[in-house]
Amino acid sequence: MSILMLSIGFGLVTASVLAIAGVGLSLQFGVTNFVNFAYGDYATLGAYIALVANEHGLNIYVSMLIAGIVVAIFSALVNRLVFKRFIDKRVKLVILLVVTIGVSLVIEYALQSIFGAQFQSYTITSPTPMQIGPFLLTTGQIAIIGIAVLCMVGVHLMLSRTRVGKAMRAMSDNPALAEASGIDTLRITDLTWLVVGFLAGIAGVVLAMNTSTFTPLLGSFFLMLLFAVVILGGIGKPYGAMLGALVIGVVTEVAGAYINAAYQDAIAFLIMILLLLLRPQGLFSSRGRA
Amino acid sequence: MLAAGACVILASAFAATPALAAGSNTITIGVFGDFTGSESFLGPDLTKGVATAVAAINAAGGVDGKKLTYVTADDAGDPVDAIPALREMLSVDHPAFVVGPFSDIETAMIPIIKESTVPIIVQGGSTQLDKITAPYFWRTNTSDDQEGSADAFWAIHQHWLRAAFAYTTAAGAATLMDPTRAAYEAHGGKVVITENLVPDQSSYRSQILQIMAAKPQVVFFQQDPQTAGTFFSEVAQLGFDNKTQWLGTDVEYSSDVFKALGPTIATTNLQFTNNSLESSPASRYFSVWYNKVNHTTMPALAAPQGYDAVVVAALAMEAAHSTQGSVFNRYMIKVANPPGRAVYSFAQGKALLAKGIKINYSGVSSTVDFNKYHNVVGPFGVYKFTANGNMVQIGQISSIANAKFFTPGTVH
Amino acid sequence: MLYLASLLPLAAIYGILVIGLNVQCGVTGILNFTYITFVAIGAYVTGVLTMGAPANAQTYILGAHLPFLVALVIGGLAAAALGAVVSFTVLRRLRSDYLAIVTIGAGQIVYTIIGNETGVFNGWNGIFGIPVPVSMSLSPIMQQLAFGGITILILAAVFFAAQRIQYSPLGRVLRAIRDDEGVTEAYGRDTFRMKLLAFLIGCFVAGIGGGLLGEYATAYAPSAFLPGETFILWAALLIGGVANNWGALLGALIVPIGFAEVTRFLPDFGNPTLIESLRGVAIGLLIILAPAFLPKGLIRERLAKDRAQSRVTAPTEEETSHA
Repeated sequence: MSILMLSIGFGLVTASVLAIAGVGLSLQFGVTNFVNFAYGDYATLGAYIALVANEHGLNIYVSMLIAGIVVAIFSALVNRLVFKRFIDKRVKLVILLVVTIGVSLVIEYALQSIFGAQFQSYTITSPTPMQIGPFLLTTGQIAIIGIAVLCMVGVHLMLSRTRVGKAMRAMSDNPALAEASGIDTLRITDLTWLVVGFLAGIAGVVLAMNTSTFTPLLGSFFLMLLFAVVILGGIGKPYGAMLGALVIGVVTEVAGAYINAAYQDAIAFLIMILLLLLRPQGLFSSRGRA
Repeated sequence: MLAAGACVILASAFAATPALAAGSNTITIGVFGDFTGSESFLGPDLTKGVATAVAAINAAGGVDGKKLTYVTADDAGDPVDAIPALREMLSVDHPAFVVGPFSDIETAMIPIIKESTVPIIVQGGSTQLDKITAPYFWRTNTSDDQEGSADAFWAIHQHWLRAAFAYTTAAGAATLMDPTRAAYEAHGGKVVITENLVPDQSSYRSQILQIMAAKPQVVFFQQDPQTAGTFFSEVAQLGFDNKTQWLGTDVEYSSDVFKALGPTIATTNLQFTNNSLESSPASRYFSVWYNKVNHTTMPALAAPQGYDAVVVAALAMEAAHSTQGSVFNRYMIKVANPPGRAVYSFAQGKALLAKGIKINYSGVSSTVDFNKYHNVVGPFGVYKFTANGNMVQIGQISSIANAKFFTPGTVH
Repeated sequence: MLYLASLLPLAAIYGILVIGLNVQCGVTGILNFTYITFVAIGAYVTGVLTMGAPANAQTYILGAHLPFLVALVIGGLAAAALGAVVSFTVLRRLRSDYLAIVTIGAGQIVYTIIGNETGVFNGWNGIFGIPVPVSMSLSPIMQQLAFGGITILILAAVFFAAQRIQYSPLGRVLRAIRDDEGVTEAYGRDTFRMKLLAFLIGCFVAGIGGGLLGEYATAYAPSAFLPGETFILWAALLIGGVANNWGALLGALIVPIGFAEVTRFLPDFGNPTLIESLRGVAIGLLIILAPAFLPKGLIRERLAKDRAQSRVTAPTEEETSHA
């Protein structure tokens, strides 16, 4: 078993986790045109909701579903109750971004107040490793990859086959034109937040499964990697985010095996910054949007 | 808001009573540690030990007839926040003495320790404090130099001559890694790989692979419970848990670690050292009270050391018939060091003091005999977890054997 | 009493820090989400420059025995130098959110390097034993008051300079850039150079504040510049008053000092973590509610003098949120 191949295998798992959330973040940005700095904490919220469900005896996958649904609703509510007020008042973008930071802090510390600062874990049976080709993965990790694939397929179908999805793409590409063509932007925005919240909730649970222990700060660091993923793929381009997740996931894991592992995440940020300097529209996008 | 805040601060500052105002009958102890931040398990664990001591002492009638009570303050794990926090505790709560802090910030606290007028009984192992000269400084936790040589001693005596290091990069960790490495290599061990783990990362798999590829017979590690949870779960996922021995430090002497690892992993090839005297009568007394106060038998990091700190200080106050730091500080050595009749609890010590007999308290974590730098020397125990989260001792390293093994760590 | 005396320098230091943030973000509108990193550079550089050769098993660069004020200025310059490096990525026509993301990424990279390269600033353990710039023969209370006096003098200098910038032609241009960069450029202003200047000034002030903070704590470590620290300063700015220096001072008194210190006095609910968590929730709420109810902070920006000269422009589509 070569270390390189094994690392690539782990990278695929990391990529799966990043992809689920990254697609959500990219989609949300595309439709609403601002970055939600609390997105990572939506994932954390999902992880904790699943914890509560799990502690009540529910299987982790059922808990994951519940978490997704709850965070979806939460996300739509936060948009309606908080973000929308600022958007309607046409505040400057900077203010809105700072407000999202405020939401992020509230979620993190509220979770910490309720659950405490110490770490939590899910009750899942001890995983056994299986050899799949050149990779060494546990059933849980294979499940994670499977869930990611499911989510990607789901998002793809939604965007390409449903009217709602097409409306989202229209709003993403050209909001003024979309509105002029009679798209109910309010409703589409609400639906976008629901979908995006659902993805965040799932991503949080999957991330917590992958790291085995988690605290209220789980999502906030994860968010930084997500930025790298989304920028790599081209902000507002969900398909780009999928590829971005693959690149970042594999590169960080492989880098961790060969260079000082402390820098493995720093590499992701470096890539992100270089990209913003040289090709702000992302690797996979054709138009500039910086 | 500002005006209200200012009023509260001023009112509290003026209203704060010293630890023993005329007519008051409680003595306040300060507990200073990490309650938030990356090492947030340290503060609550230490508090468990202090609470145990307070309960036992109060049940024995208190000090000079006065009951003990404690307040906690959070140092947040960073020096910039810790300094005002300790100052606030000292000047507003007026504790008779303070227990804490830990190695992540203890070196930054040195200026405050030096200007203190009450005993500060530090709980971290940083080697920077081995030779400090500050009259009110005390430490009931052994220096990392000793812990390092204990780890090395055990590994060598088990004939584990190829070792890896898997320490986190947390503040205060290197001060233990260096003496361990130095003692190990000085006595025939070979370090084949060192992997530094960034705490709380989501994946250490690549690093685990590197460690295992070097085929060590033992892996020395020190990780906070959360990192350990992630790390060892990944070790198990990769199927490596039975392929080597894991030897941890006193940070592993904690129910948090057991909780993080889960019973299966915690009981596989995992051992750790801690300075403690399991076999002493003090230990049995402590266990009973610990269980009563904390409703568990599972250990907490630094609880024994914190307990001993409070007991010694209380005995010193009792012997001096005073709660003023300037008066009872010099009694710390008188009640803890030989010569004297060995006592193993506050109640025992108090009774003998009443008869004018010189005592020598011997505690749970060590014999609590302070050297001229107010540091203690420990024997070390080697432990394993049992399936229900308790610990069982599987070895003992006496202070004498440890001292022979002692090799000062190199400057990193 | 010692505690109250020790709050004096801390208040002045936070005042300096928020003023610096104001220049960058309040006046010029640059979204620096990693301001604390520049504070850290100031703290480290000033610290090592006053500490002499490494001792006590610490390792760091630049040990020297420079006098305090010299070291402080160099610390500020070092922070500005890092600012120059960062600004070449940040200030190209990147929209606010990309800018914010890049600052976060850059801050994370600096944090990782400082922590892991132990030779630079002693790694994760940080540096300690920074000498205090007041005589050790004074009593502890007098030391705090004396240091407080020094910090207040420096605060006064920084405040005065910031006021001069605020009401100068430079200040007007910076505010115009904040309100509408496109139009300002159309008027022939070199917005990049102006933003760079504002950014560097802000970083310099951050470095000065950081140097003082390091002297105050006599130690500094990576745990002291986690990203969350920046947002405490942001909350201070938003509450106190954006784009004006009196507002910055007020914010500094209310949030980092008043708020944080008052919560120390709340009774132990038996769970210190709970108080800390609730404090965090409150800061988050402040950041949300302040722009909602106090869009300009408690002390509003004084535009009377400039009303005649500034144009009222509609924000561009790129720069506002839209439904």
